[in-house]
Amino acid sequence: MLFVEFRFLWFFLAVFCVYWSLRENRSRKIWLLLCSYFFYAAWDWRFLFLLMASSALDYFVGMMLARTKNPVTRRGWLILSLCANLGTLAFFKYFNFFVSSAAELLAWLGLPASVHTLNIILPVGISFYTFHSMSYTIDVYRGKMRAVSSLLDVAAFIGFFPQMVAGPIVRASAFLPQLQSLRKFSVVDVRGALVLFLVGFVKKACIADGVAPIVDKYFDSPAAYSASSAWLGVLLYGIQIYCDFSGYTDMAIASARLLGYELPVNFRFPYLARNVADFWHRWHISLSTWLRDYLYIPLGGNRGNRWFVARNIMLTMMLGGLWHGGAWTFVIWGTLHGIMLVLHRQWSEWETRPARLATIVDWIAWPLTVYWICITWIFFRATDLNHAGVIAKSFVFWQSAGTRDIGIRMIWIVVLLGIVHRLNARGVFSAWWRRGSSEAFAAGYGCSVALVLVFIPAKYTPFIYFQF
Amino acid sequence: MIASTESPRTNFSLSRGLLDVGIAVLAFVLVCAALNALLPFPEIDVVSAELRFFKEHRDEFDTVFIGSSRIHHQISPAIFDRVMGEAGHPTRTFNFGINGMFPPESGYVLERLLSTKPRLKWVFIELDELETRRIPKAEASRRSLYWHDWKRTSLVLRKILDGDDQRDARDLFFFHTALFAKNFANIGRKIDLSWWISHLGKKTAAPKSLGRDGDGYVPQIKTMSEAEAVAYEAGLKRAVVQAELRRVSPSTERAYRQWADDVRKAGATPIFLITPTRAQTKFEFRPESGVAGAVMPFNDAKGYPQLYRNEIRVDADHLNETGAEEFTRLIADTLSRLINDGRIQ
Repeated sequence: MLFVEFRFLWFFLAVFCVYWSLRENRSRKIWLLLCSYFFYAAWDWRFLFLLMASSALDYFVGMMLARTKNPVTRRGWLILSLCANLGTLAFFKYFNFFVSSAAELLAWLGLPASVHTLNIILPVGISFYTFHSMSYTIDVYRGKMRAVSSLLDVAAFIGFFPQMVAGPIVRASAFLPQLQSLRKFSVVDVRGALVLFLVGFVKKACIADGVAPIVDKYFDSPAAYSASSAWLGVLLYGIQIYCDFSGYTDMAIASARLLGYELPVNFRFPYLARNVADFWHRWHISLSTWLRDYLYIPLGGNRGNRWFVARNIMLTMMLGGLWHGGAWTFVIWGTLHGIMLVLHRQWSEWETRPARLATIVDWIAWPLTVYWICITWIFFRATDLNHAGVIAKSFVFWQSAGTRDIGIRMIWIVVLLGIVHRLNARGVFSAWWRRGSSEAFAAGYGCSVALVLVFIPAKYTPFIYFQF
Repeated sequence: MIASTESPRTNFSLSRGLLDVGIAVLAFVLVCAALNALLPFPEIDVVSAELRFFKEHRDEFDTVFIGSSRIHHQISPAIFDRVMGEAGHPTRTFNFGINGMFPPESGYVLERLLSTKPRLKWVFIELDELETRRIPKAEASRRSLYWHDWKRTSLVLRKILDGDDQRDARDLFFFHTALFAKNFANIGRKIDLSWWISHLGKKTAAPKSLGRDGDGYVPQIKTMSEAEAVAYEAGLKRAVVQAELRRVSPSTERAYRQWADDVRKAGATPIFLITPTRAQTKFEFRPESGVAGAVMPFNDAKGYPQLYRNEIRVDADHLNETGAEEFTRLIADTLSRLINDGRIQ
């Protein structure tokens, strides 16, 4: 069930009406949990047991961590949780990748091995709910939060349907307290949530799904296209992935908000970033902060000499890339970001630019950053390294024997979307719809939805981040 | 970025909330209806092109055949006009048969065709039960969506609810309701808008589906293989034994009554045609149904054995070019006989 489908509307309407008609918090949580499991089962009910097992295990580990103060025992429980969570993730997501990579390595060393990969179905959202789940046990282990005595709470947190399958990655310490208090409808920002949902819907259904066929055509046979089309194709993919993912996030945040829960912000106009570090403060923020707090800092973070810090950055970004999927293209995507983060860190230490040059440098930095991000998207989208190589050659060196063209009018669409992105960042669209009576807002909303539906494609493209 | 900054609403009430929901739904419905009326006709493969062609040449025709591939491949306007002319009833015929176009889609297209204000004398409508089934390959297509207006959908829904087979009724009911909702909400209609803008002022080429003479007839050259012929004959024997006279369902009757009235309002005479298919069920309307129009049932292997010979058939439902010519002549002869006898005017 996708947020953009009609059936989600009916599903959410039922969830919303029953949820707010229940008086007790416990009943509401039971209802939410049932609905969340139904939502997940609509995709594949068999993997529901995996989700339940993950919730039960982390609840149990949390309870065990609360019972003992012995550091060795506590560490043992944490390791059990990490092994179970990461082991499950590794099996479903990386088994075939590791096996085939090992076979390739052996073949390269002159030791050809016969290997068998498995036909494994990737449970949707496993990367997300594993991280939700792990944040709970790690925070309890670190003493940042107390273990929760209710299995219902832990299960409802991990399985909460708006964020379960594609984030934002929610910390237990931020969400569990919300679950434990009775939410009041009177403080729900209904108008804001409805507008946010519609904005997310437009981003996903109108923009991302609108450019998807063009992007798919280009990436299916990049060698057939000219170098200028490579630019357009990659730029459009940048737009597609942003609108697809941030659109999903907007709808997730809005759905949660309508039920009285706040999810963390995941995007802050990433394409306005002026360097790669800035980009990671704006793109998939819930993942970047998760990696920072649960991987980068435990690795040593910024402490130690520059090589040690560079190692930490590179490891974090490579693993962050691998988190997206079992393929070398993702590892390279993470590595490219890591390299640029290390270089930017050095640059920031050396840089002593005069104040009057700051604006000029900023203006040069912005296109350079977007350019670099686009280069990294090539690896993110490519099916393999050869495929990425063909596109990168065309995009970076303007070398392509292809003659097909995407079409000049797409440039105007890119420019227009860029202007909207910029204006939105300046808050041009952020408040005017709050003015006026609720009746006027309701009428305007109904009209807007009717207009938006004209511009959506007849067929939806699945959310890109569902595959992760 | 839309942050949750709203201050708590202390004056929230359920009745006010419901009123707002009602206003939003009403606004939505009104805008959808307005857009539905304003947006250009959807660009549907073959259908739209043929409608455009017909609109441009509407004064050139006074007789139209409308229906499925059984019309498209089996009625030769040239032969029909020749035979009618020889009988002293000159006609200028257009074949508006489109592959896979069954009622109620054919009724919708007929309505669009009549809205072009043609000067018609005869309108032959292929008679068949209303099609309610899901066709897996086509169900997600725009072709299955565009005719789902309320008039057509209500007919289909009523037929589903009246049906004896309730096993698939719920699934079909939701399927057609969802298509109606999608069509009413104009989902994905930007494609028609951009097509319309990009073709503004441009003359579009005549569609290939109009055939070599540009009259909508495309004959099928193929004949049946030996194995196919054996299977066909066995099936036909069974069908002849099981032949029956069956009244069409009430919803189908209602649909044909509407279409017959529309045709008559346009100044033409409706004639219902059953093509020579293997199925030997002869449909008829109840006398009290109010559907006034002659029915020409040619799916009668005993009455029209010449149309059931292996060598003139492509398959159980379709005739090849030779068969189509023979069938067309037979229709023209029947019509002129009916006119001469004064049974039809």
